[in-house]
Amino acid sequence: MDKGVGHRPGRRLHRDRVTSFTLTATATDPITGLSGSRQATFTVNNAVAPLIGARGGNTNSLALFNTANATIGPLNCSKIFYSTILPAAFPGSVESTYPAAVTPVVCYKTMNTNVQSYVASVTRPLWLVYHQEPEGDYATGAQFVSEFMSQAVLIRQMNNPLVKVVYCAAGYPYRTGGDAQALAGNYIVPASSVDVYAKDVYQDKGAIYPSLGLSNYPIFQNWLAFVEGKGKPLAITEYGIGSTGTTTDRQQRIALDCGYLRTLPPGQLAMWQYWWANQSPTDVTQQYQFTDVPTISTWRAVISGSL
Amino acid sequence: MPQAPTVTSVTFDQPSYQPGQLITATMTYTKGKSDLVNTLTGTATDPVTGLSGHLDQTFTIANQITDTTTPSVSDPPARTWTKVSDTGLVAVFTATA
Repeated sequence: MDKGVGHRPGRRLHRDRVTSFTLTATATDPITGLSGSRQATFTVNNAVAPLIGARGGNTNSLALFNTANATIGPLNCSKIFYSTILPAAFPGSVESTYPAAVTPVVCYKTMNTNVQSYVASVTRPLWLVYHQEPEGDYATGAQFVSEFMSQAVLIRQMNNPLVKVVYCAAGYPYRTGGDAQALAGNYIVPASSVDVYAKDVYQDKGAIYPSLGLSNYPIFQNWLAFVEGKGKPLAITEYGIGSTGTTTDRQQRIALDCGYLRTLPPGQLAMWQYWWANQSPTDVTQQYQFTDVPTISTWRAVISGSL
Repeated sequence: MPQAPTVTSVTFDQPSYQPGQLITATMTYTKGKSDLVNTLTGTATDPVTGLSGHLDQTFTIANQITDTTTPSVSDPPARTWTKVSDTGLVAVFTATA
């Protein structure tokens, strides 16, 4: 959860995986045994939609996820938090109880070597985040990057292709005039140590959501400038629009951001998660949960790819 | 001289496919040709003994007979192609993407 509160022609919100095949056509004369041939290529596009999901509330509770899944789903990814170390193994963990179609994004905060026993035991696609939203937690970004890279080495030594190494950036420190280390790009992990660059981004606390959404939101754009050329997939692993306007406002801004995210180069967006919870009983800018039919329909259109 | 068949073109009904879609590939080809090969047998016969000697020799009549030609396609090891038509000049194949 964030401590504070971001053109090209349109495309569908999916990742293209185009495979090329070569067809060989042959004509054979059975009398002489002679033959002639020619080759031509065609492609098969195994397009993969980005994972679209949500966190169901402020705990890892499966019940909360199930409520979100039933209300705004089907959801196929959700964030899980460990405030210190990971469990020693994936089996028996709360994330292992989530529906099989859900990719857990598991965040942990304490460096340890038992990350290897956990990774070795993972039996489904899973994203692993060391110290999510590190910006502002360290004296220097370099210190975080060093820690992250050491964890990445431990994770990759287990050679489990189901586990992706993910760096997840905060939102607020990237605001204009925000954290100097973040705005200098000092928290950005080298591409060689990461599989996905992820970002958490919300309506800024006490402020309205930008009229043009992510496309002109410094919290998002200042971060994007650091990572979009690194050749790695991008993800939004927390996203929320407060209840400052009408439901129509929120619905339209989700649609607006979906349209913007479509303009990212093909293959870039790997995940988009909504933070379907209310963080404050009084501050409407932090009340992200929506239950109105039009906004649910819009989010479901994001899921289906029809938006 | 016999002439080998040639494949003159291969085209698809669309440039790209989604998994599960039907791919239709059309090939045009020319048939192979062969010459008529004849065998001449020379025989020398001794009428007294009745013995004879033989020698076979072939000669070719370059009549360029057009042969029945078999078209086929493959994209190993990906998929199975089915021939759905063949006019002798144009053959159509389908497979599942």
